[in-house]
Amino acid sequence: MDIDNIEKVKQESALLVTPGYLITQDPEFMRGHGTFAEDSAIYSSVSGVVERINKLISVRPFKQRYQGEIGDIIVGRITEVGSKRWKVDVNSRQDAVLLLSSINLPGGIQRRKSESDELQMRTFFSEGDLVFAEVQNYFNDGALSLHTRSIQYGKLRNGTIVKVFPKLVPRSRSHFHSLPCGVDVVMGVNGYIWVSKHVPQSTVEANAEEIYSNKNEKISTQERETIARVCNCITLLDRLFIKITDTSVIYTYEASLGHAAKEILNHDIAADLADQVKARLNDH
Amino acid sequence: MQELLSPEGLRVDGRRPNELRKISCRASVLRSSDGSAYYEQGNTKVLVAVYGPHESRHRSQVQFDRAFINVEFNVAPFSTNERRKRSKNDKRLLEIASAIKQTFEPVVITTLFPRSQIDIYLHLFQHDGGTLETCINAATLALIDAGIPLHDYVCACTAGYIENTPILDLNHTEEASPETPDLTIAILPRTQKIALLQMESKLHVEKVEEIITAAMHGCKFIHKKLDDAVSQVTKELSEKLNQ
Amino acid sequence: MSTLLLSPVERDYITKGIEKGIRADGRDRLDWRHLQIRQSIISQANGSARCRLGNLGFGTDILVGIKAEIGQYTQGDSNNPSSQKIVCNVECSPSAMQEFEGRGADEVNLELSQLLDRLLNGPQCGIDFDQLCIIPKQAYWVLYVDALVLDYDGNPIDALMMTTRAALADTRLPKVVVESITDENGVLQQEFEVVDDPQAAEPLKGRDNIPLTVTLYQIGGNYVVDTGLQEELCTKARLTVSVNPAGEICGIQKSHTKSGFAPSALPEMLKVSQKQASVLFTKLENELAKSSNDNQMDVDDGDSFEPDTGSTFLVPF
Repeated sequence: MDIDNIEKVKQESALLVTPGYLITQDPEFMRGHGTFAEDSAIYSSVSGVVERINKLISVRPFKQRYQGEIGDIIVGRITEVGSKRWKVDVNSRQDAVLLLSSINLPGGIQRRKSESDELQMRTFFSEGDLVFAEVQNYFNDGALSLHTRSIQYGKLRNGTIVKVFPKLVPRSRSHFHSLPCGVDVVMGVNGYIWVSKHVPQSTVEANAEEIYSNKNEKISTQERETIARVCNCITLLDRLFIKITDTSVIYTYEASLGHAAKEILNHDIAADLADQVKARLNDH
Repeated sequence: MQELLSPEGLRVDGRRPNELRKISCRASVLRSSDGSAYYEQGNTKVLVAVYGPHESRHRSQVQFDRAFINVEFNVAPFSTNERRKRSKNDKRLLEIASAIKQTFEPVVITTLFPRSQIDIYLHLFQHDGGTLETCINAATLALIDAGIPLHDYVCACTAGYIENTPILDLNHTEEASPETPDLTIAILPRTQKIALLQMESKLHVEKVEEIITAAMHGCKFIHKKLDDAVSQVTKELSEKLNQ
Repeated sequence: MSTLLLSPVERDYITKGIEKGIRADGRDRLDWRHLQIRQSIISQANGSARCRLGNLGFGTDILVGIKAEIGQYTQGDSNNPSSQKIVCNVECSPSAMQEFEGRGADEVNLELSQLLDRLLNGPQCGIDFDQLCIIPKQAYWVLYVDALVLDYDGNPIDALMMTTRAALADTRLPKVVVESITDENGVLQQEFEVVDDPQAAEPLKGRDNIPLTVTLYQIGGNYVVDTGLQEELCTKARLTVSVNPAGEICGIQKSHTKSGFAPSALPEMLKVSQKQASVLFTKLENELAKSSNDNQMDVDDGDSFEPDTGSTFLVPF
């Protein structure tokens, strides 16, 4: 290949590449995710869009498992309970690790961990539980370590999970949204989204002792209908590959109000709603 | 005994000697898996699902410096003319699974995912010759669909010899004929390196090179087909996302 | 892997929701998900169908291929003339769920194969078994029903039965010519020849009578139809009722042993199943009519491709 393809990145808005594609032979560039170097040239290893930040070249595929970064807000499911740690499925290359020392214990945030805590690991989290956490660090082999040391993190209750493509959940300042329709949404950047009944922050703080409770609050039929509607709206955005943000979810929700919640995923209605949402998103 | 090459030089299915069968393929056909592809070359049809890289489920197989690739190959009982149900321990199935695993191990950049696992599940729906080539091409497509980093595509093709004429991409009738030597080759199109070479019949050494060259031409054509399919999906997703 | 894990609060959410009559995806207890079905998709089979039960490209995805082959009569077969004329085999592919890898699906494969076998082999199936006989006590057709589960999101039985019914309706039996010859000992011998002409092949008699199943899943104190995977994980007991188009019950099976039904609940459940079956028959018919229209349109486009395995994969439905 004679032309250096990196020139195209500057000219065109998006350079789409496939595995084995020669991106540049210019030695001053550095290879990032989704690329590999061979004979001082940089090639793409995946199919996606070339991104360039200064001298760093990377390629982001559209469909891929979650690639963690420190500070990410995620939703995970406990898969294994150990003596001082939990393993958590976060839709990534390996299960993440949540250490006993990385969680808040009931009865005072600064309480020291004792041996008795190690003996009752399952009273905090057991297999199948869903957890709202932040990526604290990663190990050499790429496994993530999580922490839940904040009042908003911890065990998830009062709702249901929706799985989407991780690529569709952009990293942003806030991943916890109380939507105007009275539903709380935790948008894990790993593609796991938790939709639940709105519980005011003051109630959460007042019940700090019950952060590991396995009981749901009372949820009315009306609230369930709203949760189902929001879930279906998110599913719809996922299937049509539209970015999932609080704005796009609210737009879809509002557009859907003319239909029953269960009808949103009906093929024709879904296509119609998607058009309305896209048009409205483009207006802004 | 049926003539494999007509006096006009046409093959049993009417193709010219150097003509590939029609290839149709599509990525992202299933939803449970991380990546998937459907691929048909003539009447040989295969569906592939790829999961991973994910937490290893086979503790004993975990490798500390790379991901481990697991392949399972199944054949639908209705895939052949005579219905036949094969057991999961069928040697032929295990052999194909193992060939696919060995082909992809050096191509998938497994060192990026220490201790993880990548699964490739293949299901053959219809069998009309060239099972291994079809499976490799389909698996390449599914791996790319799952966003798994590869050094290159892997493209496979078969070639053989009928009455001094090299032929490309054998169908079942040609493959089953005892007089027809046939060979399966998989190449990495960027470096032109050979990833897999298999021949189970007798052939004069001078002719081997000729049919390898023929098969490599076939591989290049298949590379183009696969690349088009991948580019199309990427473009569609990119447009949807940026709309 | 966490596909089969559910937290206590999720379980509670699903169960309480069903109690209140609103399921996690907004459906009522007796609402079905979207059904899509296509026939004649495997060219080398005598009949085939692929069905998806789910919303927007997700859901339980089943492919059924039917092959008719000639079976030879052997001594001792005559005990039950209709037995083993339909051979059922269900395979759950690991593409549907990783838990099906290796021998992981053996148990569920066996359960579904046996269930299908019991629904089809016998007069309850509705098809005319006499048609399968070529020469009495000598040769007969065997129908091999092979089903693949390619994607999984709950309620496999009802989806399997719908796909099988559609595939059997699509099946064409090759025409056979029987000749009688008297040999030198004066004994009448019968020989047959299969006519190699697809135009002469005949559909199965009685294919319209094939039943469908309605499976009721007990979750908490209530029951629902057409569960998704998460709901299925909350199921305590399951009742599968097979009903034919005339509304007659052709088979009942209770499975899952976590709990039992009160006998007093049964009559109502049977009634519900009957009613839901008629809903399903209508859905299936509408969907098949729609798909045959689609095929018609392809021909109008000048597209000369025959419908084959690829059609539903290359052009997703």
